[in-house]
Amino acid sequence: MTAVAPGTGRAVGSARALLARSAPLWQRLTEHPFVQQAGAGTLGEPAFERWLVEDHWFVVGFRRFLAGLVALAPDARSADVLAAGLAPLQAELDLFRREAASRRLDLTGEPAPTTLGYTSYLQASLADGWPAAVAVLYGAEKAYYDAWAAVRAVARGASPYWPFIDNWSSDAFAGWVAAVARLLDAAAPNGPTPAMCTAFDRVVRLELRFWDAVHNGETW
Amino acid sequence: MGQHGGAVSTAEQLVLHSAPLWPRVLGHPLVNAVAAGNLDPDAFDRWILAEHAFGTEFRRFIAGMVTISPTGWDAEVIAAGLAPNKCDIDMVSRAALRHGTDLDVEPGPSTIGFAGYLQSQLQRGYDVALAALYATQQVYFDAWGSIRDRTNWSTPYWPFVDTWSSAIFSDWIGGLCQLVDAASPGGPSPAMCLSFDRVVRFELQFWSAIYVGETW
Repeated sequence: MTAVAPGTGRAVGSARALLARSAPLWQRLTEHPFVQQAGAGTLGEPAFERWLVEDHWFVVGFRRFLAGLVALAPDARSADVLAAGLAPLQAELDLFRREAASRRLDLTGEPAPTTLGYTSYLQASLADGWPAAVAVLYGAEKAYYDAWAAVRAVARGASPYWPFIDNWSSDAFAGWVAAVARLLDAAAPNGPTPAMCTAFDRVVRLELRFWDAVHNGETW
Repeated sequence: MGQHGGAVSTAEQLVLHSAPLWPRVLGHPLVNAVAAGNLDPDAFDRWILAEHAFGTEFRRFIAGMVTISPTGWDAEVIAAGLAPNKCDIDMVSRAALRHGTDLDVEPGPSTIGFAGYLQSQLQRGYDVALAALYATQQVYFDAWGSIRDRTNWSTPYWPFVDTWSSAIFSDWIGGLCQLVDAASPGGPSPAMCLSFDRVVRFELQFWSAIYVGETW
């Protein structure tokens, strides 16, 4: 069986097939008020600061997930691709810490429930095997890239949040996401399995929940 | 001093550390509504769906715990939880049939997050994962045990309350307490306390999502 693009009959890779399945959710990602307001520079300070703290926690959990995926990689080439994603995470954490320090934000508290649930789901997906876990990684990274790329043109450096928008809509990040897509295609050459579809879909929905939570605030 | 006049055990210290959360556990609206027999049918529907999804994922967590057990005794005690877990899943499935609940629906975010958190604890080492397992069970027993005597046997939720406040369930938790004490005889580590506390908070979130409803 080969993955086929809906309505076209054309064979596509698993990454594109997963994206096509989740198209309705994708629109919600790129149009999410948090992303739109960050791009326009109208995002309120409290929401931005919640995001700063929670995305810091997300990266802390995501790094564990990515390291686990490196350990799960079926070959050295795949491990090379994934391990290359670890160094930029340190730069992101450093960026969060600098920004948090300048704003006197506490990064030592507890992550919010949605953040902890999301990063836990990522780590739990490692037990579902390589193809499902790569689908999860691709979902998380593609969601971030597409959302921030959608507002990059509008923001054009004018947004006070530009360093963050720039980071996740950069060519370097796009290249990493494309490399993960190739790993996904290789992991499931005959199209995504139902488990991969479920995992991918859940990640996109968890991403939306994450933005809802930082935009609106949430407590335990 | 502990329950039996000795030093406070590691399991007891974990509960004491999270004591501020216990009134919220015992006074949760879901627990109260079940005791009063007036749980909204839609909330019962959500409970069945969430409990089925959680039970299925919880089985993977228990099995994972068996694989990382440091001794045969640990593995034996924990593996003894697998058969009751299957009974729980069957009980919930029967309730779904009676209530007309579709179990093929995607579980809510709180269920996915809670189950994911438990799975993730398997990567934190045996003692931490054991603290998480113990928390799930102690919270359930304390909550449902607190309403056992005032819950009407004719309500559709009685089998749930009965199962999770039974002497058999209490015995299994007693076995887990012994494992917790043996795994960390000098008292719980900060990581164990954090894991225990987070599980209790995830449990509260899980109940709130069932009681109030949540969407993706």
